[in-house]
Amino acid sequence: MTGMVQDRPDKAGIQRQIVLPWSRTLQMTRENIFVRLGRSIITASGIFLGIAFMSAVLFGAAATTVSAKLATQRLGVMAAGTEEQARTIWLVAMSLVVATVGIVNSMLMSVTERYKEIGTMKCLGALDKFIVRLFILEAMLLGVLASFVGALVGTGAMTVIYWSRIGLGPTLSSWGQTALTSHVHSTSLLALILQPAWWQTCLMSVAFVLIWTLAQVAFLEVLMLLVSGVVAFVSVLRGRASRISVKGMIVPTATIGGAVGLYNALIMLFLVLHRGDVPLWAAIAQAIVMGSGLSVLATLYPAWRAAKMPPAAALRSEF
Amino acid sequence: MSSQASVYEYIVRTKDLRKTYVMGGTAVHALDGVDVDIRRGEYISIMGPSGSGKSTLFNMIGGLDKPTSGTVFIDEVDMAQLDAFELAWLRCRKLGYIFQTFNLIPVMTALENVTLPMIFAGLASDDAMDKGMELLRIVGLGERYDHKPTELSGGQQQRVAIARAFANDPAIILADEPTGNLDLRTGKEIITLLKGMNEEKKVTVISATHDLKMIDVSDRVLWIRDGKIDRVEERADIKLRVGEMEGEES
Repeated sequence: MTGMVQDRPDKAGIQRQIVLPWSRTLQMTRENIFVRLGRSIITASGIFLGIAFMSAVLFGAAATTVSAKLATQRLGVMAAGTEEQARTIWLVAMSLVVATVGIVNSMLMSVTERYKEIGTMKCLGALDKFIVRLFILEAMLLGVLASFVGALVGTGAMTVIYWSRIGLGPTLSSWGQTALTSHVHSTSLLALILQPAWWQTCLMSVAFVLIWTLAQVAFLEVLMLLVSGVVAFVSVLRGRASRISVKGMIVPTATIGGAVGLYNALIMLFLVLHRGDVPLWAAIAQAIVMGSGLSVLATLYPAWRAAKMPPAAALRSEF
Repeated sequence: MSSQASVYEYIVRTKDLRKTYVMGGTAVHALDGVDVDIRRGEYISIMGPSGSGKSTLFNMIGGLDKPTSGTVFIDEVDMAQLDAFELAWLRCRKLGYIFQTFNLIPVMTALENVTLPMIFAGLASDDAMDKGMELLRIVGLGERYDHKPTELSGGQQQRVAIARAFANDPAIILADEPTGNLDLRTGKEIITLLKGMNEEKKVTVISATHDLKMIDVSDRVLWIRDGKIDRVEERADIKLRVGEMEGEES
């Protein structure tokens, strides 16, 4: 016979006593992906298309810059720089938005389909974070795979297209360059970081990364407060209590802001230090981080909400 | 707080339990003040017509949902005072659930389903496998350990669910309409199995059901109607009325 409920261990003890080893999480995630192969493929396709488009656009812009430069050299005509950049940024943003919408939709369906399973697992003693982990891992696996293939296909397709236009040589050299790099070139960032002495460069780099990350966190926190304020205001108008807890959102927002800010800052630093000449591996790595990051972010909220549901409600689901 | 001091008489107690749902403007009182005392090792059946609140009462006792007011005590511990971690611990180690729709994880084999609670409890993989196989043998499914739920019949799935419920040697088994989706003969087998485990392992079994076959094996039957306990019958009382029961059934 088992002991009394009063003899249950304290919080830390319980945390240790309920476990889901990572190997098991990985195994369950793999099986979930393969058993629902159709759904997994649809989700992966969404990410793949978005990332492929983004890669193609970035490469295309770089190749255009190169071909424009060559045309300039041949004809002595100045090519427009900033319009290209604006268009590129817009296209990249759109491609990411399209990919995100697809992923969110697909992962939302994936979570909703498994409400009953989630409820069952909670009945067996699963902690909320186990449930979230399963979904996040699934999103990450699909994201990394699909982004990698997408990046390759995107840049590969554009290489072939531009091959005919400007020949193989310039095409290969323009693989890494992005139209955004010229933007970085033209700012004083370059002068600021690339100081003559190496220790000065280090100092300026660290300062830049810190300031940028903190600025991003601050920006997101302010945004979150504004949105919470608006939601609370609307709730008051409707005569209902606002369900948003600002205090609970401060840390998650800071984490996301910090991660995004750090990532952006490091990318910019990388570009500056390489003077805009980005090697192929870096461009592909960036696409992978982008794709899997979006995947994970899109899954986070649905998975968290599903994990917090009382089991009775989850088990009532029809699926 | 030592377990030697006193073994509480009542393993589950509810006090003035109420659950109200607001549906389209009107309040539906699923539970309207329910007081229940369940002793250790008892086999309790909660019976009543559809909509009487037995599933709601089941959910409350099992910690699957929160009451609107009132308290549920498990081992004299107020369930509302437990946080998410402690609830998970409770479900992992003290409670075992059996559902009408079996609720097995479809992507896992029978053995993996049975050993999942053991994994949560931190059991080593080998020990879990051994224990799982033993449990499957007890319920009569030793050879089907590697079959997925889709490859098993309803009765077999429910057996796996029972084996899973006993995975971590719980003190209480909660069964919500365990024979609801099963035919007469399989239902009887399941009931026999449950009663066997109740007698052997001294586990308290609380079953919400409208299967009259359960009455035979229950120590007490709680009849619930319109969210209130209608009457409580001891087994001795029921035996005398068995003739009537049969008549009603047909």
